[in-house]
Amino acid sequence: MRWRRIVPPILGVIIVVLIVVIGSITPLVSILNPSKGVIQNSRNLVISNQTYNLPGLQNAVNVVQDSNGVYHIYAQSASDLYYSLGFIQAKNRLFQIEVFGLEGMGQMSTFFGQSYQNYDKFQTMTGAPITAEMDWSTVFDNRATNNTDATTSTALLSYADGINAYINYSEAHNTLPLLFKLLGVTPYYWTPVYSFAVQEIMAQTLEFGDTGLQFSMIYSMIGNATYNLIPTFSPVQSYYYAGYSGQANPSVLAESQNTYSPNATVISMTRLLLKEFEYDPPTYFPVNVPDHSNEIVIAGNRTSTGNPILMGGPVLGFSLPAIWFQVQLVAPGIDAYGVVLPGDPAIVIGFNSNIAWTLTDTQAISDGTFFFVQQISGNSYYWNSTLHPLKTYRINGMEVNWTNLGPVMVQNGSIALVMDWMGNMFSNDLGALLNIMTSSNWNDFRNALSIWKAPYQNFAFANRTMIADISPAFYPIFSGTTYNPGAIMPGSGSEYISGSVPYNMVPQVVNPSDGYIVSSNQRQVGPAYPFWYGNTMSFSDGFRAMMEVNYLNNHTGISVHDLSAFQQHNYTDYSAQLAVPKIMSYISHSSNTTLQRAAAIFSGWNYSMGAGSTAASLWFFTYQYLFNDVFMPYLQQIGWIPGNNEVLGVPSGMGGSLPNTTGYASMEVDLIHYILNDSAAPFSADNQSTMQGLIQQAVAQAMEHLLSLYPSGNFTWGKFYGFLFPNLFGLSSFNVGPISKGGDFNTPNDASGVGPANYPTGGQSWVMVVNLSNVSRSIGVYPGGQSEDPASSQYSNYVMNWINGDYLSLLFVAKASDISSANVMSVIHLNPEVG
Amino acid sequence: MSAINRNQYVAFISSLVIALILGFLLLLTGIWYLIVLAGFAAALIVQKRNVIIFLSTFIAGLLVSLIYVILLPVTYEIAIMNEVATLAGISSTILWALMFLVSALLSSAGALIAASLTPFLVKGESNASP
Repeated sequence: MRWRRIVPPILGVIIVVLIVVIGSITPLVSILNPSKGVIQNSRNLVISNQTYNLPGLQNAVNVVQDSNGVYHIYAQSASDLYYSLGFIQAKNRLFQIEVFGLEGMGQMSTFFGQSYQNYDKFQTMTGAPITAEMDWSTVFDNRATNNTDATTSTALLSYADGINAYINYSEAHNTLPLLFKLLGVTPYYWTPVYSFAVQEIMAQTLEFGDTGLQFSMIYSMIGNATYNLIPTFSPVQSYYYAGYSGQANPSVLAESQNTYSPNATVISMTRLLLKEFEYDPPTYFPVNVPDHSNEIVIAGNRTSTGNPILMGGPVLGFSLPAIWFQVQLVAPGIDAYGVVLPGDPAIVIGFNSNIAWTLTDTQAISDGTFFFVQQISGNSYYWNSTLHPLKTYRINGMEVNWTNLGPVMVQNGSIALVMDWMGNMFSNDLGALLNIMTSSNWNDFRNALSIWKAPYQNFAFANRTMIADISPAFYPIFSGTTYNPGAIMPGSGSEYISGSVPYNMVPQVVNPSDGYIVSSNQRQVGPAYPFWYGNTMSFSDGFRAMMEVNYLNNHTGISVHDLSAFQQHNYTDYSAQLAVPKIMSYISHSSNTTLQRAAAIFSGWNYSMGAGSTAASLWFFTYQYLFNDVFMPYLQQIGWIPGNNEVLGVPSGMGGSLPNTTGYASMEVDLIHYILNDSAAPFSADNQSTMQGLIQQAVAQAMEHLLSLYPSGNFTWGKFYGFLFPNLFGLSSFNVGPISKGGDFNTPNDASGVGPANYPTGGQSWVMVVNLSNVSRSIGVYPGGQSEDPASSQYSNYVMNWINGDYLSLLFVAKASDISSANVMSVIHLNPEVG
Repeated sequence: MSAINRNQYVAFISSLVIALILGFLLLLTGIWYLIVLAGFAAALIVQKRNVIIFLSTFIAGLLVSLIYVILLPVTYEIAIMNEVATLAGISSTILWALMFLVSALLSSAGALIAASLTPFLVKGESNASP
């Protein structure tokens, strides 16, 4: 019959057309393709001995993956070393590397679509992509005459070649990381510009912000009362690692309190720009946290070994894959161990056979971001009453105008808000870190950092005989009328950056008599420092540093184990230690049964925010309610809430631990000061409320809240606090946690947040304790894994080690052949491609 | 086994083997749709009833996918498919089934299309011939 001849072919055509159509509108067909689809990625999960023949390698390279998953790369030249690092890092983290590169260059929408356009636009406006290009061209052009630039150039070019070699290999073998296939995108070839873009992202994460704008907003509301709310110097901090305690330098204080008053137009522009800062990429990728880092160095006369011990704990947002990738890099003249960033070939924190180093953020000087009001006329701007042409950059399909001070961030008619960000200065941080890797003493180390401009970081140092710390950066010195640089300044020519603090005057100390150095984001120099250094808005409140100082003052003969236990298991909240005795004095004799019950809970408490402690929960919520009761009525009175909280945020205590709130370190410092001094004036609701009344009220509120959740009274802190490790790309199915653990914002493992709606998603991203008597006996771990693939056994395998404080031994071996087979997971041979 | 049944059996196996080998080779190019040609060729070479051609090429398509699967580390494939299924919000069983089904359908679709041409290629021989 005729239908027997017609129907089958029609059916066949329909089947094919349907499959093709489905394949064109969904990734289903491409990802299920047996020869090119996702099942081919199963080969990436196999951990076994492998050999690769790669173009561009000069000599064979041995890569040993130890039993902890750490890669030890042994090469015969620096170029082969960095090439191999690029290849191996891409093999494990290619998607992460590429996304970081796109983030830095303001090109996220090429992978993730138009919903990221606002982030790309903001990124482009900041100048970061322009600076990345400028950094690379400067380094490359100077390589013949500058050793550091030559080293950097070799490293970055080789590193890029290695990444690109992996891209070519994986494309040829259909093993491109899963997310490329799922998104239907192909990787771009890596260049050194992207490595500098990653440097820019880190500078943005660590030293970039809108505190200057916020200060101006607040000043426009309350005028000089701002200096009470946001004091220049902390009334509580007493330890400054680089000294200068004592009376405030009068000219610095005067400068800090000479705030320029912009007009209403500028204030409305400020409000607009503050909203734009929501699109600052590091605010969302990876998750940005307001929390702070630790570094402690202990001299040999206070350790059990007789040699220094160095402890590092940089606090960053958690993610899976983690931001760090752990390696040992060995080549002639190079033998260093530590962690590198995705897209950059330098060990940021680590050690070699002679020295150890770690970093924390200085958080000084308004996050290195300054704002000016400038007059614009057409394509020109005014400076000292003279017109100068705007410089226009065309990048990412946008035009960005720069004045002599920086990019125009927002313009209203002839008025512009211009941003001068220290991250836009040429700064070969990568070169400095590459030189640190080969440094053998303090002089080498210090010299290496002399070129460091931004971000502002505290570098702790130790070798077998000495300890030191230095905070190198381009700290601007303002000339002219010297308005408060922590707020918007006039940009007519009266105010400008005329230079920087000389290198010998930046905060630094060598072998202090205390026998230790603590630089955990507290202000580095005291009020007597002769240069403007910011206000309490940007520093950590200092309680954690004081807690660490207390510990060190009360302990000697400290071992590596002691210090690691302190880092991960000491949950003492210093602010509780200060405040709870005062609180007890107000509640322990009350006839109110709720307050009596609270007093009984606090009685005998050792101020530890342990997971099993009910006193910890009571302290946390009492603090939050007190913070709210002291500040909120005032903020409502001045129009912060609700009129301006969209741009200034709603403050809450403990670094903004409550959901959808913001941390203000100044207010944390203020609150403890008020508690200790029995007065909340001028910020209590009506200046009549006594601190006793406020505290009793806060304690009662906290008890009521806790008992409403746990009527039995079993409101242990572990029910509220724990850590969440989110997938970096927002794939929540691959999150880990929340996992209960002790601590809070003021403990060494600093993290703000409270469950169930706001579990901490940040903390010490890499905990490391280096034993300078024998660096091979050092320990460390980061909460994550070496692989970015959730299906890999190396995706999150370190998380529980980190949670439990089970540091891993850091195998530091000079030759591949010296690594015992028991410590080897796999061996990868990278050979030069022949022919 | 009667001569007719033996004939059909041989045709079935022949068609399956041709489609399987061609399908595997064509899939090496990475273009999944090319499996259509495998079924097409099998049907042209082994000119038999639609049912035999369809079933043999359908099974051949399944087997092509299966060969690719068993050539890879199966444990990790399962992990990968679980990962993709989690992201897609569907069961990994469905993904596996789809992978095999698409191969099978492409191969058999090619055969069905070829079935319309065989009368023109071999004069006087109908599709209904045993």
